[in-house]
Amino acid sequence: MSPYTESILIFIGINTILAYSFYIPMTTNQISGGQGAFMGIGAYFSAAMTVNYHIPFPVALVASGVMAGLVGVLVGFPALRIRGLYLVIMTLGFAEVVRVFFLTSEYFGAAYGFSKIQELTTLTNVAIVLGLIIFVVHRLESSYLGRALEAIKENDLAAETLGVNITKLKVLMFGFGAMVAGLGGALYAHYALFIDSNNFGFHRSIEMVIFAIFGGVTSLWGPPIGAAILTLFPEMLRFIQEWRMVFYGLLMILMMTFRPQGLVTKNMFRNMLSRKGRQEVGDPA
Amino acid sequence: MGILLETKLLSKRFNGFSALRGVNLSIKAGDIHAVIGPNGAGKTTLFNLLSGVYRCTEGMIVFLDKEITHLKPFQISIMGMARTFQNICLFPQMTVCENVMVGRHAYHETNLFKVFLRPPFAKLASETKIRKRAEEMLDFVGLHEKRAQLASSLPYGDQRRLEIARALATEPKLLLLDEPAAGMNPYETEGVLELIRKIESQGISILLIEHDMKLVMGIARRITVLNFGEKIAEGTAEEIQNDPKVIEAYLGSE
Repeated sequence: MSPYTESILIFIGINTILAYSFYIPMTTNQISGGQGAFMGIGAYFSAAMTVNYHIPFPVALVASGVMAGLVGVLVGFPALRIRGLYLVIMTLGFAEVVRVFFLTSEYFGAAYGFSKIQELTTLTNVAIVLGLIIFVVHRLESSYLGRALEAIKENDLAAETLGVNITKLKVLMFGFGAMVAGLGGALYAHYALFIDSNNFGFHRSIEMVIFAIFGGVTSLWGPPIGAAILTLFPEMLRFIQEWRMVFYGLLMILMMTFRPQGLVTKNMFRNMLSRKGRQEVGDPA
Repeated sequence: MGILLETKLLSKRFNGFSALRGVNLSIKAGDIHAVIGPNGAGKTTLFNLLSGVYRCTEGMIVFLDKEITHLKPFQISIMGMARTFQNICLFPQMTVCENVMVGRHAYHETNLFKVFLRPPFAKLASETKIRKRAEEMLDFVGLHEKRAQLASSLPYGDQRRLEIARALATEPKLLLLDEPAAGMNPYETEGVLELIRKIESQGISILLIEHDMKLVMGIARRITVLNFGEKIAEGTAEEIQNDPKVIEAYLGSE
């Protein structure tokens, strides 16, 4: 595999992980506009661990994911009472606080950024992390917990009066999403080798939203498809240089006009299965 | 028969507006109890307080001899109180069967090892049981053959039935029905009446809000009348019909 192909695949992998970090809280209708902050937490803490304390990368990776997840749980509690656009604004505000923290913190290199990070991210460890995330999300969604999550997304009041502890599940999913962003951040830091606070600002958070929405947020397979296409697209358009972002923008406009629900949807798979003549009608597969 | 649910001086204020004032209510086990009253009398507020959706401002609620005043809706549901909503609250993008299965959430074995480490494509043992039970519920309300449809594709009357099936799936001791016959024609209303009787015969007590007087008078053993957030009368259908305060509330004073 050429180094170029490998780097593209690594970026697709990391971007998919980041798309999942938006997708996961979204399964309970929590729209976060600040996932970049959790990514930043994962990136900075893992970098500090491997560079300053020579902690082995796998340990630093897991620890920084857990760290981001815990911060996510803390943010998840106030987020419970806030919905929709208001939650987007709240998480945006939080992300800005985190960004400025890293921008001013001497320990993390302040405005100079954090450099001298070793290249420890490989295609293999990206694939392992991504595989584990997909495994866990798939197991969750195909169980009774997944049905409860879907119920919360559709009507949380009704779900709660049917015995679903929505507080627990919402905070859990917010924390899980933050953890995934932290893992993505750690992998990013050890591939980019230099990070500064601007890597994790508003632009990054929105990019994560776009990957997920483009692929579709009702199906587990939406985030990888969205992230893959939107990572490859600008690469394929490299020959037109500055103009490529115009095409990227046009793609967004076309997509939101003609397929706002994303490329992949939950009921798409359901319909495909039933068209295959699946007789067992009571089984929504 | 014992008292299933009791409220003592239950009050709810919204920013100074008093939606419910000092309501005492007691529901006997096995009863069909109706709450009636003009629009804005506080009937739905009462339901929201009982099911834990709102917190009361004053007073207390006792269910099955335990105070539930400050419990959350899911805890109250697990204790055995289920409800439907005036404005239907289904999960529209889920199938009819899945809607009912959510009602059995609390009956799953909560073993995360089994959730995450089961072999691929293997279902949890409890999942099969729960699907079976959900289908029984659908059979009970007469929606079994529509179980694979999306809930949003059901006609209005069936959506109300589905909401009832979903509430029954929690195996309640008390079922709160918020206007189960709203917007239905006389034929459909008759069907709802039949369903309520069927639920009663299962030993489930029912607390009912309804505007359709024919339905209320025909089915409720006890009726509570609310007006402007206060209880103005309580008794059998006959007693209520002859109560001057009730007549005044509905028709205005002379």
